[in-house]
Amino acid sequence: MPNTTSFDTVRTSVSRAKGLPNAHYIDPAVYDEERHALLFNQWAGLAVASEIPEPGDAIPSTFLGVPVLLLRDKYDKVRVFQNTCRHRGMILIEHATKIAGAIRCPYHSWCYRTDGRLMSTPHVGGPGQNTHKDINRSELGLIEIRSHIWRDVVWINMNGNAPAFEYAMRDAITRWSEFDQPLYHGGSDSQFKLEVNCNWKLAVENYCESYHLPWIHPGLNSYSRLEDHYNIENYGSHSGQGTLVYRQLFGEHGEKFQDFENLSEKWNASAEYLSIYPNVLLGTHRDHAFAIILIPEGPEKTVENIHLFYSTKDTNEALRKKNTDQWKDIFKEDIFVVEGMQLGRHGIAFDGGKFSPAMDGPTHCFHDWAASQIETQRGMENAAE
Amino acid sequence: MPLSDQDLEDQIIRAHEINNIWLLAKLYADAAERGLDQDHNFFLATQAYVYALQSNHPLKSKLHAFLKSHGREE
Repeated sequence: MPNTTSFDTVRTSVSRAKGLPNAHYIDPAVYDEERHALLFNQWAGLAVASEIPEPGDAIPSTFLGVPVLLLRDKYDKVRVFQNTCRHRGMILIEHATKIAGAIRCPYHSWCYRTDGRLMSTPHVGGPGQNTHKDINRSELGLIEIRSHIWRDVVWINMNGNAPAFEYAMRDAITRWSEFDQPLYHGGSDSQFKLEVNCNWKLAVENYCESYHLPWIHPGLNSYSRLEDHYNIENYGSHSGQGTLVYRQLFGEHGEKFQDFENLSEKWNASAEYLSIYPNVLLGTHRDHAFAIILIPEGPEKTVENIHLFYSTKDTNEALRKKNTDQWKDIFKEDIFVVEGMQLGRHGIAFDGGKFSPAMDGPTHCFHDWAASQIETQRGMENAAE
Repeated sequence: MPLSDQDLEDQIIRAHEINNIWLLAKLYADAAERGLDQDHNFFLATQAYVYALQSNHPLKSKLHAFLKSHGREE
C-alpha cells in the first residue's frame, strides 16, 4: 500500500484545512487503497432494489473489480453474491436474466438455489455419481455479500466488517425519519446514467455543497438563491445541503405529484440533498426523491446511476418525464465542473485547495471522513506487520 | 411412433444448439429411461436433473428421487 499521503493538513478545522492531496484523485495505488478503506469497509451503494422487482430477477455487474450478482430470491429477499462458482471460479451469470429454477454454472453445471445454497454437483463423484464424501455442499454455497436496503438503495459491505447498517447510518436515518415510508420507482423513464471522467469523490464533493449553485445552475437563481440554502455537516457519515424554497413541479394543467404522507410543515418548502458516504447521493422533497449511485470505474472515471422515486405507484407520465428531464439537465450542468476539477488535480503544485470556512464545510466534512477511514486502515495494516 | 435412439440423440444436439433448457431436461430424461447400461442411465438422468433444476421443470422431483434412491444424489 502507498502510505505516502499525509492528512495533517486535512484533518484540522475547515478554516485551516486543505483538501485531500492530488494523489487521492489520480494515483492508481491510492485508488486501490481507497477501494478497501472507503468502499469495501463501508456500506456502499450498488444498485436499487426496484431494478429486480420479481423473484428470480438477477443482474450481474462489477463493483470495483469484484463480480457481483444482485438478485431477488424465490422468497422475495434481495441478496447480493459474488458472481463466482465455488468449484472453479467461473462467472455464473453473464447477463441480466430471470432465474426460473436454479443458478447453473455454465462450466461444470454445479447448481445453486437463489438463496445461495449449493443444491447439486453433477458427476462430482464420477459419471452419474453426484456426491462425494469430500464435497460438503453445506460449506460450498455462494459467497454472500452483506447487504441492506434503505430508500430502495441496495447497500453492500463487501468486507463484512462495518457496523450494522442501522447504526452506521443512524444519523441520516433519523434526519429523514419522516420520509421512512414507501418509495415507488418511476420506472424506465425515471432512471438514467451519466459517465463522467473524474474520480468518484469529486462527484460527492460537488453534490454536497451549495456554493456552486449560482454559477453552475443559474436557472435556480430565480427562485432558489444561495442565501436560501443551508449546510448539513454530520462528521463521520454524511454532509450536504438544504433549501428553504423548494418549489413543486406542475404540469400544463396544474397537475402535481402527490406528497409523502404526514410530513411536518417544514417540508412544505424545504428539500435536502445528502451525500451519504461513501458513494450515494440522495435527495428528498415533499413529493419525490432521488438516488444517485456512484460506481467508480478507475481513478479518473465514474458512472452515475440516477433513479427517481415518488410517493405513489401511479404518477402522471408527462409530469414524471418533465421531472426526469429537469434533473438530468441539472446533473449534466455539473459534468464540466467535476471533470475540470479532475484535470486540475494533475497540476503538480496544487495543494488540495483552500476551503471557504463559510461555504465548504460539507466538503471538508467528507475529506475528514475519508482521511479518517484511510488512517484507520493504515493503522490496522501497520499493526498487522 | 417412438423416436429411434438416433432421432433422440439428434434432438438433444439440436436442443443444445438452441440452448432450450426445458427441452433438454425432457429429452435427457427420455434417454435415461431407455438405456440398457445402468451407469450410463445415471449419467443421463443427472444431465436431465440439472437442466430440470435450472428450468424448474416438473421432472426435477422424479429425477431427484430416482438418483437419490440409487445413492447418486443427496
